[in-house]
Amino acid sequence: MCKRLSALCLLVLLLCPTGVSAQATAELPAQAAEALRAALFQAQFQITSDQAGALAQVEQAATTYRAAWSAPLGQSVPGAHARIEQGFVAATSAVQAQDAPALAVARARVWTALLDGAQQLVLQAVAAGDTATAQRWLAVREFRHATRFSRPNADGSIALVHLRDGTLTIDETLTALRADLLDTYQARLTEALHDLATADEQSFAARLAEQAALSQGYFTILLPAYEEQRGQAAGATASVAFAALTAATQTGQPPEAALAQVTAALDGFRAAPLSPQEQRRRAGQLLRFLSLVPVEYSRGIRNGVVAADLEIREAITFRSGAEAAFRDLENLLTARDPAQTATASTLLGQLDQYLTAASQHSEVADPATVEAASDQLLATLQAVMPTEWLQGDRSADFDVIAAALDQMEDAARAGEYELAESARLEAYAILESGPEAKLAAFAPQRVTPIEDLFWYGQGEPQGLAYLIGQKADDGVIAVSRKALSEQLAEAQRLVSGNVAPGAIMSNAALIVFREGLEAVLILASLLASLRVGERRHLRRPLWVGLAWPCSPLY
Amino acid sequence: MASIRNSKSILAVLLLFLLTACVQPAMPQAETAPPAQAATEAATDLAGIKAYLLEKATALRESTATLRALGDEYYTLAEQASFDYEAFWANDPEGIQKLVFDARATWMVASPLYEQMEGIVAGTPSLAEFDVILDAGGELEDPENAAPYVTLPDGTVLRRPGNLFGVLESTLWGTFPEFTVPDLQPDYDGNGTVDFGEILPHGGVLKSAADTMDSYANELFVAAEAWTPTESDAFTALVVMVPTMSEYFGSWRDSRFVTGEESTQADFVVISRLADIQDILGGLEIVYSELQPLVATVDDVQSTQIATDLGELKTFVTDVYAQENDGKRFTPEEADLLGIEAQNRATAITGQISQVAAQLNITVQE
Repeated sequence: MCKRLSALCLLVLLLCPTGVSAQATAELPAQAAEALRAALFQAQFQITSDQAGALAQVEQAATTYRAAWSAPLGQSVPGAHARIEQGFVAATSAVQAQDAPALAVARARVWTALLDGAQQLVLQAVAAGDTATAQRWLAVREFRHATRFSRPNADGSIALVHLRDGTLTIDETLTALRADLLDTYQARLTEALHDLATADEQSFAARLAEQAALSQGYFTILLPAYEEQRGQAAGATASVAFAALTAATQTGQPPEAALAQVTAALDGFRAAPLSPQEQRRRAGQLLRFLSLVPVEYSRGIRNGVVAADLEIREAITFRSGAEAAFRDLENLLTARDPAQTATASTLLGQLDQYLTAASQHSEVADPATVEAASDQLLATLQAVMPTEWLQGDRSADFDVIAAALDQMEDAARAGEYELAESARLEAYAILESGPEAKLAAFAPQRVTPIEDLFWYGQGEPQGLAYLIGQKADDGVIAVSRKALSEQLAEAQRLVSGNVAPGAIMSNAALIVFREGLEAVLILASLLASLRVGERRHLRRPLWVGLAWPCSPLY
Repeated sequence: MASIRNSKSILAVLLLFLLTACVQPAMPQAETAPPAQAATEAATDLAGIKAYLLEKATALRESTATLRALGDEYYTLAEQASFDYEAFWANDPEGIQKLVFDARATWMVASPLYEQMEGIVAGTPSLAEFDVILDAGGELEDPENAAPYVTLPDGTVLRRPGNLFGVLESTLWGTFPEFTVPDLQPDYDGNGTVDFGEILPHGGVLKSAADTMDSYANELFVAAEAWTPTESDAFTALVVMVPTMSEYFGSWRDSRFVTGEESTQADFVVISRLADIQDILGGLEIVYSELQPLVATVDDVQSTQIATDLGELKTFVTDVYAQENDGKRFTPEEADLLGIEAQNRATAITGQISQVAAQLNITVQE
């Protein structure tokens, strides 16, 4: 009995503390981080008006950190822990000296070291298979700054959910988390550098220093990825450039020179590698956009002069889109063939020169020349790209459709309805030549609304072909375009699944079987109802009726 | 016996076929609601959001009807004076002043009413157009942010003069000279100097803008009545509107409330943008309170944390506004710093909300 009781107690002891501690600490890291950040902000706000109050805020921030974070960070991420403690010392000194830029730098160092520590704790917990701990620490993170038009992604959170459910492996989860966090902090680094320039223009000294220190802190988080791609020496050089930028802003020196070095160090760097799907998508965009450049250009030139500026602008838009996609893939392409990639880059620049000159009416290249340059570029890229990129990605089609519809709206807004119609047709042609077949197979109910909105639908809102034909107000066209975009977004979601041919066949076979079975059951019930004597004579016509559609005469 | 066995076998095969036939083919990303969403659709009662919106929309249209009547009266008097504004003013300065001041007072009632529901209107894609028209649309030919045309009684068309609250504010307080009577500055307070706001509104602009705003306020009410909020709508409103702090703080930083007479900003001259932010956040708190039980199904601690953070963000703004009302004038750099802090808090909240929406498989609309 006693042994049983002891075993039971042991079991309770083993189980309960885990649950209780998880519950008790579940809210701690994120809340403590917010409290710490808010206290340091208050210190910054009070530094000149209430020095004692500012010192108390720094002390409070340090106390909050030591209570909630010091132990786990000190044990598992000592580098980040040391940077945070140094930051508190620097913050105290800055308040004592009433040096607002120095306090701004200290705040940024504490905060970014905290983010670095949290992300490393998350990755360590995932590697150990401890999803609950990872979820708790993942709450201490930043997001890309959301706007009315962009949303923070949730890839990391979803990956953890899938790890917990067993639908992702630890390695897959780590990859998703790294991609999400690295992408976020690179975006924040870019924003910090942008805001730094704005603060410099406005002569906001503390904000200038804070943004420089934030960018330095974000770069520290990205440094392992940077060194992995460019080597430790390059990493050290870049780190020095960031440190110089912070020092310049803190001491009131012009930041331009240091900023130029930082910008050069970051040129072409992408911390979060593109997923294979994103690589295919970018490749699809690159090839599609490039193929449209000579088409638009030739429409804009008549007898050696620019006859339609809008077409030239469209060509420029497509080239710019192609360049953006190329830059995203450049590192990967260079790794495969540096010489060919350099050639592609040069050819892209050459196309830019042709188009820019035409847009300025300074020099008009022959459309055949532009086409030849585009063809050479396409051939070069296709030679370098891996086979899987060339197999096409339907999502790139949707990007091009969106770009063409943008041009349609621009043209309608300018009152150029013929051009608007041309752009509409171009968008429709891409839909018809690509995704529509897949859409018809997997979501046929989506086809009609899209067709109606592209053409002459008379529902609400009306079709674009009809509206353009009527020279409708651009606001009305915009409403239809918006509705079409929503339908297309849903269509893209529906056709984006990677479906094996076998699955398509089995789906089709199952549908045929199901419909056939329904027919058999209906027939059986009809025949059963004709078993009664006086109705038996009606069975023959029924069999004849059944046989007729199956006969060669049908 | 054998026939019975055969019958049973046939029945079993038929049942198997029937079961097989009932199974949906495995389409990729089939058009059915994701399990989490489907499970929660019936469970989440969002009626409070609609009730709140209708309450504000009703009050707004009452105010805009009053404003419309005042604009009509003002225009009729100007018309009776053959648009000779010198005579118009000289005929009845006290009556004209009362009309202008009544119109201003009505505008100052209407504007906060709209701000209190702006978070829902602007954040809900099916209603967002009204936000552009009433409160957010830009001036001139900005196609991405287009305000409506305003047609004056004489047929003149103001092509996208800006959002209607902004047009009326500029007209009533004279921050856009084209919307006022030129070379006539009534000394409303009789202190012998021309002070801010001592202008006469252009009768045609005042009437037409007030008429147009009243029409759209009524349309908004009708649209709100027809709207049934979904979980996707509610999450979208939060994710779209919470992170707009920097926009609002930016317009506050550049307004008369911070930069004083140096400000060139025509809008937000009579009500501090801080008051607007408070009102918007108040509306968003209502939205979140309706969603909170759903969020708690994912993470109870986080559901409370989001509510706390939203409340603290509002308190943060309220504190700054209270200091401003107590006479503190913030420097542009301080205003900037406060805006960054508000944006950081808002981004953290938006991030949390987005993670929950994703885990619930609820789409945040574009």
